[in-house]
Amino acid sequence: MAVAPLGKILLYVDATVAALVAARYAIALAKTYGSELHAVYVANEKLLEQLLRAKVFVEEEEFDIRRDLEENGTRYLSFVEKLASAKGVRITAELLKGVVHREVVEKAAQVGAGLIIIGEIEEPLSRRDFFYNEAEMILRRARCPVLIVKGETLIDTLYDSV
Amino acid sequence: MVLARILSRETVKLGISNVDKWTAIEELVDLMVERGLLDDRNAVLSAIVDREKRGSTGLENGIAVPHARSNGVGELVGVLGISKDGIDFESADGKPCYLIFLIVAPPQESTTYLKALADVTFIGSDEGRVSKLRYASSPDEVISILEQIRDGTS
Repeated sequence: MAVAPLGKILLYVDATVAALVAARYAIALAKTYGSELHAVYVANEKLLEQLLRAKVFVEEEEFDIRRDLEENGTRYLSFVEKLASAKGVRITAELLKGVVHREVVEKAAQVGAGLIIIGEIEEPLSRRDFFYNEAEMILRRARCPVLIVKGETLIDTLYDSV
Repeated sequence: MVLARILSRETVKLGISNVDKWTAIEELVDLMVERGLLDDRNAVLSAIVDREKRGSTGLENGIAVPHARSNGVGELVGVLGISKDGIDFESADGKPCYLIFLIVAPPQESTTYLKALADVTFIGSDEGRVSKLRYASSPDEVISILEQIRDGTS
């Protein structure tokens, strides 16, 4: 059975301006090609788990941080849903929890995405920054094509035109 | 490495008071005031002390990381106080703490706050790193060591 390469798109959203630029591009693409669009935000629990193991947090802090990570995710996904709605594009937005790159790659496989879209990757300033760079890990571990969106002004023009 | 970004020679203090941890904490909050990092000293000090009363932030290997989120700051800030002789922080391993990383973030800040705290635990995971910082002879040397840690050369 032939798989349409842009039949299903998975957009990875994190708490960055770059992710919102990527969202505009994903929406423009979905509108143009009639793609089914999915968006995920992953509350990054890897760091939190590391700090809990090191006994940095007390219970109340753990609760607050988990809640904030989820609220942040909900806020960003809501904004992406509004962007999609403004263009008449249906989007399935989902908040996940866990190790970011693993959740994104698994979700892409689960929905049968032919493309993962992510925002511009930050230039790592140190070797240790690679430890945090989940977007780069998605790029390396994905089992389908990954598109990195760049050029905010160009993307804004594209989004406005669809 | 978030910690290497928020610390500078101006936010490192050698020879902090080792009377007790509360004095050390206040001294580091006052260092933040001196460097113009705080909007509200009392709010920050209160948040840090409140957190410390809920459970010691003294970790293993001579590191302590008093921390809190507070409206008293507009962005993530941090200072490092060093005591060669060590301070009783009622730490997890019962040993004195030589490196005191004080980290404060605004209430809405989560991810970079977690990263800064994770950087502290990374430093503390190696006794050699802790020792180098403990015996550094100047804030410049401290920053140089942190940069080496950041670059993976220490």
